[in-house]
Amino acid sequence: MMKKYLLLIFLLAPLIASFAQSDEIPQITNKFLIRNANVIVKPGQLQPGNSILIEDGIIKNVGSNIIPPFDAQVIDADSMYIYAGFIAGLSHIAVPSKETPKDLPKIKNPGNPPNDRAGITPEISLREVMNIKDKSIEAYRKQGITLSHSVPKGRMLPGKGSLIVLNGASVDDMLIKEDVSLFAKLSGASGMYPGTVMAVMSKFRDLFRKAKLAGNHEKTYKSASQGVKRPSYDKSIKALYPAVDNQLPVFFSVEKTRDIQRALRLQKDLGFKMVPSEIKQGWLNIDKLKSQPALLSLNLPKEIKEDKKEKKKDDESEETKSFKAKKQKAYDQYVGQAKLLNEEGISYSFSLLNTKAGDVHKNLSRLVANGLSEDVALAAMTTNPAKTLGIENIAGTIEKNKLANLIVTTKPYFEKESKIKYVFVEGAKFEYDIKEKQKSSSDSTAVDLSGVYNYAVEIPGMTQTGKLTLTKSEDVYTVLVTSEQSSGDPSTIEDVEQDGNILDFDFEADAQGSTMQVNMSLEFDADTFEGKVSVGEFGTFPVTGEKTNPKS
Amino acid sequence: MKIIKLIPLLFLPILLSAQVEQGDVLIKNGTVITITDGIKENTDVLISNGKIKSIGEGLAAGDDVRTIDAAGHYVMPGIIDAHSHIALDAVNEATNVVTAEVWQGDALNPFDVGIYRALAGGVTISHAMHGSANAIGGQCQTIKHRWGITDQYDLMMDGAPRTIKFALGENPMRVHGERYGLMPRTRMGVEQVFRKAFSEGKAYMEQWEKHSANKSANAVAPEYDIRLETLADILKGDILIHCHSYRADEILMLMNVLGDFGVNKICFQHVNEGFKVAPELAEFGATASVFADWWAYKFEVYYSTAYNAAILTKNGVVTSINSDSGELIRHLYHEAGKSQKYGGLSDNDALKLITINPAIQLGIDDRVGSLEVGKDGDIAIFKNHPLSIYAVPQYTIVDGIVRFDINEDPADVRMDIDPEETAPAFFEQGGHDHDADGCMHGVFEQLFEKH
Amino acid sequence: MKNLIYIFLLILPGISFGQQIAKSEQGTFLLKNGTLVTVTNGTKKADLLIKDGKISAIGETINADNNTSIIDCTGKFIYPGFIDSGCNLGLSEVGSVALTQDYNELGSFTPHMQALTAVNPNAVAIPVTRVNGVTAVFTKPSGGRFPGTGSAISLHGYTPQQMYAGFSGVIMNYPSTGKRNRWDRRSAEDIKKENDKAAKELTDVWSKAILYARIDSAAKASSKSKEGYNPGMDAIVDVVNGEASILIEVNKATDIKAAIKWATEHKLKAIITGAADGWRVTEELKASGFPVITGPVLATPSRNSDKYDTPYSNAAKMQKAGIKIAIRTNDTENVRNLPYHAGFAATYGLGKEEALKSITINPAQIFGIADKYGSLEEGKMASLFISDGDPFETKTQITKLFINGWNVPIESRHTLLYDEFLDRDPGLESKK
Repeated sequence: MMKKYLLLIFLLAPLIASFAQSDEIPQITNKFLIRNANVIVKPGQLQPGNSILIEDGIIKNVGSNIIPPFDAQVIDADSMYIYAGFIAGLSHIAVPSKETPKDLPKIKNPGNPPNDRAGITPEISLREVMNIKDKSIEAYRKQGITLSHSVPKGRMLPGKGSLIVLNGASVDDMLIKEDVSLFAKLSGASGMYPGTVMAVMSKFRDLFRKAKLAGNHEKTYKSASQGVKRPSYDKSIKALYPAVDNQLPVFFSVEKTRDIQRALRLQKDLGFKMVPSEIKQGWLNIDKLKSQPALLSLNLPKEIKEDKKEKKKDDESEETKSFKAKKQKAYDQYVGQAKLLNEEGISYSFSLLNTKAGDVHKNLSRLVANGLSEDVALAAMTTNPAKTLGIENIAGTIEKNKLANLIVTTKPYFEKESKIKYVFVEGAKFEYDIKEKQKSSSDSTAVDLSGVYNYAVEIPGMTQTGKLTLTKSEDVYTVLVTSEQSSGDPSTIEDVEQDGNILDFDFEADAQGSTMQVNMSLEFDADTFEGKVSVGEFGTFPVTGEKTNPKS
Repeated sequence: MKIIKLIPLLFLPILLSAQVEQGDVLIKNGTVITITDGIKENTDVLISNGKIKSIGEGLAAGDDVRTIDAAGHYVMPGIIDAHSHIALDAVNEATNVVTAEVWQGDALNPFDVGIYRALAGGVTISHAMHGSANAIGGQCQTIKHRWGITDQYDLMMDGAPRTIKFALGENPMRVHGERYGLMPRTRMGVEQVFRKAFSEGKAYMEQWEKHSANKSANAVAPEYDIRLETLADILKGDILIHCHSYRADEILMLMNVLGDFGVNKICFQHVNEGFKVAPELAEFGATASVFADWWAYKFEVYYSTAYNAAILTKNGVVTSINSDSGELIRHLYHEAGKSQKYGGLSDNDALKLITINPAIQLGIDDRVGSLEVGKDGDIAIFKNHPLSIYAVPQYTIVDGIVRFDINEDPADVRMDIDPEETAPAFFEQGGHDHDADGCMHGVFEQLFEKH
Repeated sequence: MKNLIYIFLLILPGISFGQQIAKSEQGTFLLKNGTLVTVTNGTKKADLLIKDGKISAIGETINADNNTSIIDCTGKFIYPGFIDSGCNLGLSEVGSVALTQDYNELGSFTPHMQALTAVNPNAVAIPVTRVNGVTAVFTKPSGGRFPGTGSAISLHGYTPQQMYAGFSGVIMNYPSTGKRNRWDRRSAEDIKKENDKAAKELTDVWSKAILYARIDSAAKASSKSKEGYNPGMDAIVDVVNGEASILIEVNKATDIKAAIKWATEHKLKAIITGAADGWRVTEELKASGFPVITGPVLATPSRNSDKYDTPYSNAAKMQKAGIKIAIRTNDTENVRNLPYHAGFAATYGLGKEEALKSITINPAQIFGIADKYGSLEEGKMASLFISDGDPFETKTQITKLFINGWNVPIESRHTLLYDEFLDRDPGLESKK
């Protein structure tokens, strides 16, 4: 019975989707007047009782006495707040996880794999990998991100980044500036060269120096009419020319202090233009970060919560006390980095490579709660990235003739109750329902998914099976994953997000000094589920599961 | 020789090494074991700006200079470990049989508590080595134990010569031959890996020499290759070889190969059967860095003797005792003492095994390894003679800065704490692994990942 | 890999005897004028007579008859042979060659695996060990929850039975809440869950064992034979009844507390082994009355947050709290370093005297073999050595060795290779 039912749903799925599509009513006008709002034209500059006129995706006017054109939609924004649309200094917005092809040939010599298997694909442009239907676009837009510097996913050299607006009917429609950066990481390939961080470092040196010479060779070949050996063509090497020639900045993802040091070392050795990005532990490298723009990660450590059971503090040993103090200090350093770096005169933006959309507001607020000024926080999401990305003329502030990228909130952004009511992306309006927050038990208790499930992940050439145990206590799920193929240990995951029938959770796996992100997104239907598992840069694989003891 | 000038000009960084902190210390009234100039009772050692300024009686220094009363204590040069894997984020790039280009300097970890624990054993310098998965592994890095600094590149000992790890025998055979089905699966294959790599490095070097002699406007540089460049540097003698080895036959093999390519600077590491070919090692001018007593953890060390260091020393081979382990590095003074049990070395000969001899092997004996005026202020101070089982390191000084002081030894010295950690992890295995040397660190993690 | 092992096995008999160690001799020996470090009766200048395998007399002046070999010990020291109270000696030949390893059987409940069965009297490491003054060891299986039964053996003899030193004990690995090693990636939650499961399994196994023991004694009382073949349960009946020793391997503080509670509740004759965190729970250990076998002393601390000298000072802290301790190496080929493990413990707070006890009389008492071993006393077995100094010092040489009265040559593969290769002949091949 069950299977037939499932099958039916699958067959119907496209149909349902297309119905939904045709129901969408197109926007009536591209002119809006947002009236009588508190306009924060740029961080620190609030203009009360102002209005903004939007036309053709551009801010036509900002002022207090604007007469609405006849064909404009007037939005009364009394008591609301308008901010310049947020800019993701660096992100994977619009980039789906790679589906690993099923028939990848086995690497015979792990010491010399093809570039694309080794994670070296600087030739890939964002347009080749982005997907306008990727759910990240909607998710981040809802949080006020209107423009993103998005980069391909991958390992050491995933490709080139482009600037996109978070709305558009096609890839071309979304792209506002192409190939503005080279994206780099210190992540090694798995089980093949370069596997460790030291080999990745060597490979960077090798590739950049090769590119330098190859570029010279090409010039000589072109200038001489004859008699020069024809240069060999390598698309990856060729793609590095602009970075080697200092034309293209290298956005280097370097979370921990050692990675920052390593990237700076490469820069010193090879002399390229760099923007250290996704920095989590920058307070140890302040002097070295001063000379160039930087991007801080908006991904913060979990908040330290006192365990209720451990309330009896008196009998805590000196050792425990000292450990807790050390840990608190470390935590404070992570959440205090933004404040400190600002005080040290480092101008930075935020990168969102590892920040979930749902954490953007929460984490910006946590930084402010830890002493960062609201203006600096806003600048790091607006004016600073605009400057770093070279688009100050069109984005970052609410000024006449800039892109109509706006966030309209019910209260000042950093107030706890503040909600985003509208987001404008190049003049396109997105409106969000503001429900008073329901009691936490309403949604999540609707479906209880706990139980033991057998799962199967389809990986090219094999099926991974195992058990997934979901336990629920006080509306919080814990997931335990065991595998039958690997003798490894089960992983326990807390921090599970539930949205109706969908469970979403992340966990980290360590591999040779680099951390691999694993994400599972499962859609439950009675006693079965299906969904996707994304494993770091390996790709995304389908997963299905079935409860071991169905209720019926 | 043109190549030497050319490539650095094109690519190599200007090594603007950050000025690492240097200090002043006055050590009073100790029994000073100089290693190269006998033992001096009731003698002072003054370190100024990171260097030994004077050794003598009744030395004085300014009021702001820290003074250590070493009366009744032994003052010796900081201990040097010619083979370790502490302070490293990665040890083995086990994916290829030749990975000469990778460099441990890029994988240093200044937050490893192993550094502090080594200091607490009087060790001021260690040789952070690549593992032994490959016949030609990565370049190593001589580091100073400047515990407390946070920039990994500041651990590097400025001016220490470049070194590289080679490996013979079971490890490369196991990783490449057995697992990948790629040569070498035998010791015959290992030899040919070296001959091929050196031949390719030689050809590369010659290509570049030819190019730099070419004055034509349309001259095009050969394709750059960081691996071949490194191999060329080895052939030029710019990189000291440290070769993981066990059996006598393979040791002889490598000396033959090196002889054929005109390379003569080599230190054999572990070299458990070095005692069998001690005269040949001495004749070649090769040095040896050995375990005090490790054996039988694998087949190629079944025919070992703890008398190895003594036999090598008595045959004129410059020998050191190393740790290859985060455990042994904490008591190298005790490991050196075992050479007295096994072969009756004199006190000074035994201490040379962990001071001047490893310094020679790392090419830093002009800077460290003995207490002499002008040398670096790297010093270990012991209660009781360092070769006694009752020795307790009291202070360890690097560049004139006290980095370990037994009187100020906090419980939790960690500097980089994970803010999401629930409690410091407890590890059941505190000793060393009995089935492997430290050189295979990380290999199996890397290998068992999917391709 | 497999091929390699088979080849190795084929050549093993041939190579084991590449170097021949001289035969031991038995007889009557008079050790004249030595300084006797008796351990139990102080240190004194005296003669010591070895006869029929035993220390037959200790006295200021003992006269020898014609059949007695006299050994002049003037300026020398005589110590009781050292006992390593936990290692794998004799059960493993080559670390990385699995088929030469006999200490880790498959299965989690295998207390009937007898280490004594697999002890190889000709293991190359045995002479290597004994020439450093270690005359007996407790060699043990490892692996699962109940990996087997270990035995104390003297390091001389041609059959395991000749070597057996009078004690066997069941080994148990108490469920651990620690990480296995630095590469263990399990989260704290994972470990807790596994531990809970292990605790449940243990409860289950033990309740079955209690039932089995009750049926067993009922059967014996009524001279009836019980049903079924259950060698594992048979192996622990005496442990359940509190008659035989169980060695409980446990290291982390919280686990040690749990293990003490468990063993106390079940009224077991327990010996706590490992106890890396023993210094944190000295009160509980002392209250339990259980002796502790700790080590290796030469080990890295169990936590990155622990002080560098934690493993060095652990034994001293326990001993000072009034706990009876013995020191082990937990090693295989380097059990010979036992005196140095004790020496480091001595240096870091234990003191020479207690350190010496921790590798002589204390393990003998813990194993219930102190009537034969562990000190220089008349009537005890003549397992002792003569040295030119403090045996904890690396400078000290051992000049004579007796095990159960046998005069054992100071020879091992290591000394023989030294003799052969120090002045190799032929030396350098003359240049042609």
